Amino acid sequence: MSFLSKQTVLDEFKKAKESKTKEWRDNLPTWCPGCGHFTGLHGLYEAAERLNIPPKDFVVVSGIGCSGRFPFFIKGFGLHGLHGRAIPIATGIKVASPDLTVVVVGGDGDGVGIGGGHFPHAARSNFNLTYILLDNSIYGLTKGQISPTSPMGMKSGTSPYGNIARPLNPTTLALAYGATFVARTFSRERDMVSELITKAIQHKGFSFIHDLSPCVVFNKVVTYDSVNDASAMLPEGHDILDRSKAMTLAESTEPIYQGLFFREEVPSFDDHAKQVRDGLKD
Amino acid sequence: MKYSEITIRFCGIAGDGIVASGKILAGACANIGLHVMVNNIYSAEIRGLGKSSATIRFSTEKLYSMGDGLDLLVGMMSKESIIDLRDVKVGGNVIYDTSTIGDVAEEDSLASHITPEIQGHGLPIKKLANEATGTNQGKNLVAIGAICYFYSLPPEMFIDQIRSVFAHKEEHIIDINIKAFNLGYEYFRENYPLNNQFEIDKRSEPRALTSGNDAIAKGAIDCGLKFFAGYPITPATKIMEIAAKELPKLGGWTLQMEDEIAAIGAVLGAWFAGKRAMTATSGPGLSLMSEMINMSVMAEIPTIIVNVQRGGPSTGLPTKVEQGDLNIALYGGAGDSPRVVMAPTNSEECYSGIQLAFDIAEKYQTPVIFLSDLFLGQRTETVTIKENIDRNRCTRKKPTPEQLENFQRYQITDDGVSPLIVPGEPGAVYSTTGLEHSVTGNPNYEEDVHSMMTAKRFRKFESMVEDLPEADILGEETADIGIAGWGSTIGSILEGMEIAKKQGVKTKLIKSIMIHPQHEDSFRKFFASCKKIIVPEMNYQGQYAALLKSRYGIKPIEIHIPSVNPVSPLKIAQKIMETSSELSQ
Amino acid sequence: MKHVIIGAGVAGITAARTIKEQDREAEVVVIGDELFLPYKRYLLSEFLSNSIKRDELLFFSIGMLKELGIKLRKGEHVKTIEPLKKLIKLHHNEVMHYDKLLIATGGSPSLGLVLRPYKKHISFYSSLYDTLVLKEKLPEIRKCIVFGNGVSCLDLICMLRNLGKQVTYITKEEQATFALNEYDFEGELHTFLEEKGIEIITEDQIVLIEESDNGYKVETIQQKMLTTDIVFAWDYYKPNIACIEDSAIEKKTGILVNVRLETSEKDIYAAGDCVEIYHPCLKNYWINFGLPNALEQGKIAGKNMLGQNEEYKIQEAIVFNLMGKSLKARWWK
Ligand SMILES: Cc1cc2nc3c(=O)[nH]c(=O)nc-3n(C[C@H](O)[C@H](O)[C@H](O)COP(=O)(O)OP(=O)(O)OC[C@H]3O[C@@H](n4cnc5c(N)ncnc54)[C@H](O)[C@@H]3O)c2cc1C
Ligand SMILES: Cc1ncc(C[n+]2csc(CCOP(=O)(O)OP(=O)(O)O)c2C)c(N)n1
Ligand code: SF4
Ligand SMILES: [Mg+2]
Repeated sequence: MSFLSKQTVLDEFKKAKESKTKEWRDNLPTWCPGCGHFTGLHGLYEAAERLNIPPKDFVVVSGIGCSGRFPFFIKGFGLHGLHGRAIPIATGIKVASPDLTVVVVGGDGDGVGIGGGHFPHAARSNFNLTYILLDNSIYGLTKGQISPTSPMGMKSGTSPYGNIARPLNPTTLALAYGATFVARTFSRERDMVSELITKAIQHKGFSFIHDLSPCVVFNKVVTYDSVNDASAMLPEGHDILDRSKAMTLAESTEPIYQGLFFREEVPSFDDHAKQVRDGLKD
Repeated sequence: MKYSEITIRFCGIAGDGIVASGKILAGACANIGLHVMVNNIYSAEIRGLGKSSATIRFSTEKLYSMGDGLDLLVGMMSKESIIDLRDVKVGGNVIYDTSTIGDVAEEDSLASHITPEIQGHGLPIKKLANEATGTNQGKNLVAIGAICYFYSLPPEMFIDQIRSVFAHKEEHIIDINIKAFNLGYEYFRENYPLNNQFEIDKRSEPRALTSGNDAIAKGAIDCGLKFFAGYPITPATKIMEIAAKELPKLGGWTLQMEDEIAAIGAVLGAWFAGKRAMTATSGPGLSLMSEMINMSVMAEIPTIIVNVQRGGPSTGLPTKVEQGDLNIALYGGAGDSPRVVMAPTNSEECYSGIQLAFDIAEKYQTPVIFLSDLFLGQRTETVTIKENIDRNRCTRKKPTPEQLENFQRYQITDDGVSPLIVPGEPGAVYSTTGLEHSVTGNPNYEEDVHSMMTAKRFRKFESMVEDLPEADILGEETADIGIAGWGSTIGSILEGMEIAKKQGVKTKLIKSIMIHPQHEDSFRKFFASCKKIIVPEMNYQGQYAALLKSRYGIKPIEIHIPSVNPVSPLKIAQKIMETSSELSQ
Repeated sequence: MKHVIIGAGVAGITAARTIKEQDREAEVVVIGDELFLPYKRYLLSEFLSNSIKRDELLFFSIGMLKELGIKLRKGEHVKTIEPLKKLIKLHHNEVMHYDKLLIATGGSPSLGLVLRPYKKHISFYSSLYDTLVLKEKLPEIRKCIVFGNGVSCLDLICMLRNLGKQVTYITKEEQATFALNEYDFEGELHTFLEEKGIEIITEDQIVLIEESDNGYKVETIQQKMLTTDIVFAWDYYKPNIACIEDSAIEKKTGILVNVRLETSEKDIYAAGDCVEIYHPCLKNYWINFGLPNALEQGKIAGKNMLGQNEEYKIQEAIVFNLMGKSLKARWWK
């Protein structure tokens, strides 16, 4: 378990120009030092390197938000799309060109707020996409308003008297929507993040990573420490084929479990589409 | 009576086989080489209770519109058809069912509303249908049989047509339907032996029937459509249905998305991946798409949106026609956001126009909004489409080896078009964004970058003009009255001009599938040669007139028809006549 | 007050007009089962022989109808009358209420038992529709057979002959009289017609009609075998009263009315060829066929429907134009 101070991550990114992942590194990230999103980006570099995805076949699609800046930091094709609309754009890319590796990245506001209508459909269609949701329970880019995953009572500029609504839990949503690969990670756990992103990309079908990725500037409630204190790895021997057990574990807030909750190998959208096309040939 | 042109409307509710009636009648007429136009109208979206009607106009001459008025109204349902009586011409006819079960109140009876200038004809539709089929099915064929006799059309053509429409059904079903047809035919022969003649001596080769929606789908597929994403909406869904059926056969795919934002998003994605893609929608959907249209402008990702206009605003009049979406098509969206707007005027142009739309979108990396409308989209008509099939067509500006070397996705060029590579192609990678950006695609908000990039995006619209068709000028060159129109209204304008011509008033017309950009010189020259300019369109505001006024500084006579039905040619002719008498004063 | 009139013939349309002229407020609906605007039946021959145009047949134009405020429902047939409920029912099951009802349904030629099976082969000549059908066929017709009676039959024969057709007239009687009072013609009608080139077969009748190559074969009771291009035939001229069949309205051959043209049922009147009225000289009910009677009865029925009290007086003779010769005719058997 690696434990990083706020500044070290940025410093490391600066130095990493010569690392083994340099082939996939592009512009230097512009996030605040210590931002959780560094870990997700690092994880994606690692995965690209481990799976040796040629940049020409690698497409990263993002929404809008601090998290949305991913494409500019990665060498590959990038599409910095619209707030909440990364998933449908990525769907078009993947269905039109199934040979590409397509990763979708976005924030909590992006994915379960404004874009919340797209997530279920990508999951149930089992498009061969990897979706990384960087959850800081805040609207980072717009400077700190409550998001759909903010805890009740949380105060912000737009919730001066405290958040009245209950938070959504993206992990349970993914399970309910029928995603075939569901994992939760925490940006303090760099190795776990890299490991699970790699597995997610390898998965044939819709893979979902719920990355707890604290905003060090605007979120004073959900922080590295608060998450860390509640964190626990999934119990030994958890059956990743058991969706309802996964659901129960994912619902828990004390502790907040991390790891691979669920994975099933069923035909992906691409497999089904191919079957239809082949059937039409004769 | 001897006719060379007839308009018939079937009116009823679900289960009456209204649409099938139109199909059979139209099919039979097209087969004997007549020109046919069919317009189906559904008054409600809900099938169970809604009334629907099919209007069929056929003629020995080419048709441009649904014309004015009905020669025959077939009221399969009494009450539902009453309102349609007002469309029946003086001297026109009505067929109504005399075998409805149970009493009909005087005010609900179609017959009781028939005025003396119209002739009613009773036909025991339900009874004869039951006699033939044992159920109410076949009512439509009873009526068609009667019509066939009434206008002395060749029955064998109809029987062929019944066979082909019901080809997928069992032989027994075909037989009972033919029986229903025969009973209707015989009933009229016995009870109304005095029939009318239709001039079919001018028989010619069978003609193909198509709708605007069909033509758009076919045109797109023939020029390399690989991906379609959409969300069902009347009256555009048919395009999606055709794409869903055909694309998988050609290695492509159609996705029904969760909403129109997703649909256009997926289309943008597919274009980003280098594949020809499109979506089709109507007003409410187009409204949802505006942010993505902006993205397409900013990121210079091509996209094609077919917008089959219906009555608006909001959910509006889903089953009625209007040309009210010109403004949103031209201007909808934030910022300086230029886009190509095209509007086909007939089914032929739906086919060739959508192919042009793809070429332009791909070459100039721009959104193209293709504005059809409910009437053009849904009507079926006999057309001669010049097929142009090249499923690998590509007009993308690819980078030269030098350009690849130090790839600039948004390189500044003379024509405004930058080289474009797509994922999977070797040589360079890039990221794109809806943020303002520098030549490489990196976000950049500097003043001179923004003005340079904005100018570049607009420059494309100047350079593309050379690839666009010239405006068509029709009518009499020397006429003082000029008409400018767009979209499906053109059909009614042409017939209106014809009516005026018969009254001795000469007119000319300028029309172009291109709304923006246009070959402005030809418009300027045309307007300069007119003493009066008339601009008719199907909306309240005069959206096209507003464009022409601001673009060409003209002061036209505007005809605004916030329409639920296709424009009446007579209405246009009347305006022409008025204008002409003003001119001569 | 809703005045409903069944039958848009002379009697019906005259009544409608009378009502409207006397009371602008009255609601008047005329239901007629013919497809056309009300026309003058007695001018059909003139129209057929092209001496007048179709417009000249009309009683009045659509404009006039509108001006008078008469609602005409043409091409519609009344099936039944329910006097107790003051309702009538139309052929398509429409139900209409009335306050005052006039039955002016006229009469029409009918076939007896022998001829009925050959209906398909028989042409009629009593309406504009028949006339229009005939007008289309006429150029191809050379030979005609006519079997029937009454003045309209005479009218038909004369018209066909005037058009240069070869005409054979078959009658059950010993002489061709057309049920006209012989007194007025002094038996010369028969000879007159023969002189005009009409072949007359007496004391005979048609028993069989068959389609042949391009016409018909006709067999008579006297076993005459004739060929012809067209056959006109009817056994008798009968009031059109099917619509009162199920009602309590009293009838014999026609609808029985008193001198105020009231039927046995309240608020129901009848006029024209469909009524039987008491003839004081004959001391019996009789049907007073003919245009002048229909006109007069229509007028009186209309007035009485408005609550006036006018009596009908029997009119006997009419003037009839026969091939350029003016005849005085009485229209009864
Ligand atoms: C060819 C021909 C020539 C004639 N020439 C002469 C002549 O020269 N002089 C002369 O005096 N008379 C002539 N007559 C007779 C004269 O036309 C009639 O006596 C007269 O028309 C009777 O008028 P009406 O109104 O009673 O009936 P009609 O004029 O017969 O009108 C009755 C109408 O009622 C309609 N009707 C019947 N039943 C119904 C129903 N249930 N529902 C709705 N509508 C119904 C009928 O279709 C008809 O249109 C001629 C008749 C014919 C056929
Ligand atoms: C349609 C639209 N509405 C609002 C915005 C403004 N906006 C940009 S990012 C953002 C919220 C980002 O929050 P989140 O998705 O959680 O990403 P984070 O910045 O926290 O990573 C908003 C509201 C926008 N870009 N587009
Ligand atoms: S504002 Fe928060 S989310 Fe955005 S970059 Fe800074 S720390 Fe990260
Ligand atoms: Mg966030």
